[in-house]
Amino acid sequence: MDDRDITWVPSLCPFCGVGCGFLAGVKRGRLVALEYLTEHPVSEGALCPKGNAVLDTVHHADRLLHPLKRVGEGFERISWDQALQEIAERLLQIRETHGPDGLAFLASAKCTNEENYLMQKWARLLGTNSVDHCARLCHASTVAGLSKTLGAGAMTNPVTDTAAADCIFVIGSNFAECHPVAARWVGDALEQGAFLMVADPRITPVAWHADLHLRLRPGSDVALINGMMKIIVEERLHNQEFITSRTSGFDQLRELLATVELAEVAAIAGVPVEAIEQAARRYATAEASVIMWAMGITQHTTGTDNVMSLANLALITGNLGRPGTGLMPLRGQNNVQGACDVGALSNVLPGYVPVTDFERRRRIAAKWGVSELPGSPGLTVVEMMNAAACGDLHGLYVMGENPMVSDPNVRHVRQGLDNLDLLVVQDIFMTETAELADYVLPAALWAERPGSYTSTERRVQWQPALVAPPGEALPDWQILCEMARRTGYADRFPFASPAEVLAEINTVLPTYAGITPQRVQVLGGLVWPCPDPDHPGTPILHQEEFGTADGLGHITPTPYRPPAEAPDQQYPLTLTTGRVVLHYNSGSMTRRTGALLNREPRLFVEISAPDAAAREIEDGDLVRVSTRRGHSDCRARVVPTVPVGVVFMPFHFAGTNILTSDALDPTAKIPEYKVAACQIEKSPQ
Amino acid sequence: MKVLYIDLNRCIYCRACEVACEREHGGVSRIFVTLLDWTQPVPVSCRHCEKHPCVEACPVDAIEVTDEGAVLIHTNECISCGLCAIACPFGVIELDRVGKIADKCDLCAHRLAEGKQPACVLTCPTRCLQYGELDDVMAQARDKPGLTFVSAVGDTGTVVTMPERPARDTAEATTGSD
Repeated sequence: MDDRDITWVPSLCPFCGVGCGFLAGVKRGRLVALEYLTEHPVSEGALCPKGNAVLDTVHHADRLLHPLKRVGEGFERISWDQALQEIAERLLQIRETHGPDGLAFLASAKCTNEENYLMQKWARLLGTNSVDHCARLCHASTVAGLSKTLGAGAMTNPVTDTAAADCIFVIGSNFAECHPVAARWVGDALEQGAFLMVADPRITPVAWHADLHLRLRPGSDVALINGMMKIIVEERLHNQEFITSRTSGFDQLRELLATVELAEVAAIAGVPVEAIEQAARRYATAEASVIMWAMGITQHTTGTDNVMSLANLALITGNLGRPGTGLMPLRGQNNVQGACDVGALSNVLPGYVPVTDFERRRRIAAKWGVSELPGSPGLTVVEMMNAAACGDLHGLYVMGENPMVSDPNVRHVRQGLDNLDLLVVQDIFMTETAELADYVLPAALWAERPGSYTSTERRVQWQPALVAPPGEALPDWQILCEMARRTGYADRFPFASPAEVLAEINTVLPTYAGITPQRVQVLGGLVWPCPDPDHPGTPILHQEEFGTADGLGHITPTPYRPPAEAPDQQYPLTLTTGRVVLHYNSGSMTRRTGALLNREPRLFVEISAPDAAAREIEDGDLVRVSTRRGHSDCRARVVPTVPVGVVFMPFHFAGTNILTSDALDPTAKIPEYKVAACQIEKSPQ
Repeated sequence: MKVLYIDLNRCIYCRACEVACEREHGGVSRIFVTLLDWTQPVPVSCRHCEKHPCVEACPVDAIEVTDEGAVLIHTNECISCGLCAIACPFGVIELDRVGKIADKCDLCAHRLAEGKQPACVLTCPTRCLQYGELDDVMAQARDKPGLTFVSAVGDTGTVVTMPERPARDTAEATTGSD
């Protein structure tokens, strides 16, 4: 690579929530090279395969270049002026006819804090709280569960802190594939003798390194954790001092644990009692223990309970508020944490203020120059699809999300989207969802507009603009400001730059008050809470007090409940879903990248040898996977790494979510992606 | 003397090294990660062997052993016979599909010339791959679990730490033992 004329700009990887940095090489208006940023505090220059392929999507031939309007089965190119005007008029018309709740908005965990803030502000000024995003599908149960128990729904310790742990409990996380750079710090801990215990039905790359691997049944997490706590309390391994001084609710937990029978736990989880005992003792007696989790815990009808029982486990053993401990939900998207923080969720305003909180809602309204804002929670992601399908939702504005691949029960999603009066999709590629839209708006991507992004450890970092967007594509923040102006809110959206939006966020969101445009633009940014412009940020939460009203950690007993769908005669196997290291979420970026697609080209199902043999299926055969919601065809991989009775499919390819269940956790409204009853047979062909 | 160090305790089979190498070398990776026994990934690239079968095999002397001990293919002189690829016991020499020219890991010679580390080393999420002075590498390796093998001569080589892990039966539910 000829280094002359290349300007190197510190940048942020646009994929996952670890928030790795790298150097983007810009030459004559194009992104041409990538270098490793060894000074980055979290990644030290490392990048996973996805980060290494980040250049490929920027100048990709598939980029959307012009605004499009639906004509018959296809699209015609129209001007921005026509697009914005027509969309504005149709949105206002729907609001006129059906009320503001006839509209809904999908914000984007890939867009900046400023853009997500703008979208939720616009939606609320229009009169609806139906603004939500894909956090609903991944960590909504984390936010709900940790808010309830600890008063703050976010990861408590930095990613690098795992290096200081003596016991690392990984449950429902495959970070070696989904957050590879996190493995760097866990690896350091293991080298120093830390004990790694993994709860996962599959033998994942994380489990390869485990000292103890609990291959529990999908959906049995609360039973397992209650079982662990029963052992801890019975053997007097709990931290009484911490419980007394910093928590409430221990007595209620004791009452629940008295009803827990270990033999029953072992039967439910499919894990021997001895292994549960070993896990409990190791976690409770280590000097510093940390719990890491992700979708295996959150994507269940009991997701909120799953998270709360992990919080209980940490609270009764005092594993919070100091280095090497903590509760670590590994957030998926590069800015899902930020999108949540700035209120792009239908039940909360910026700063997790419940929309029903009369007092604080009024204060935010005042900051926005209005006397009131809508006071009842809006529709969540899956509820939007349900409402669209039954005719209660009329207009949906989608920014940087792909429900046709990401949402569960995709056939039902299709019915919903087809039934809308108006579907607008603002994106960088013609995604499976954009294909169905009435209007498609070409947007800029991560390298093409500046803004702040918040990683899983609450680290807010700034991405500068590197190159111009292609064709007529525009930055999302500009499109949103224009839309807001054309729907009558010009004076509420006077922003000339994302930095000005961040300056407003500083005044609305107390935890971001000190994360000003001037301060955030340093390597590594700032970790919230950062309540004033002199505050250095807060890597470790809950050191003195929890975020609850009384400052105590609220132990919340959760009885075991089984998943919504159990295997039966017709569908005797359990389908669980997840990720692979070479692809990212709905695949719209990674399936357009040769280096990644060539190594993982297509949908597959992992099936155990006994289950395959019973169906005369051999490795590589074309098979049909069916659930109550539909079927998908793919290639079988016969592996020893899934248990008998369980099969696994990656959701980066469109076929998987045709099969998954949209049964929801009642509190968080997150769908149960991780458990569906299925059958597999050799393909009829 | 600088060596490439591979700690097989640390590889997570992410293939970042392959994708990075591919980007640095015009679309063809010279490092290959293989998964053994479903649970042990092994990154393999040129070992710059002390006894170098590829050099012996080449009929036109297109493969040079430098004063530093590095084994380098002069691609301009390659006649596409493929004998070096056959001779290499590690299988790290490949002929490119179109031009049939042999090539392999050159430790990112173009980056070393600018004082930068090889791409695979810098990108590795877990520090499985490292590049440094033999003494520093060995000092580090001594504290790691497992056995360390050194194949290094002159000024270049590769050091590998083989992991020490309990034998694992992946067919049945694993519940560990203490």
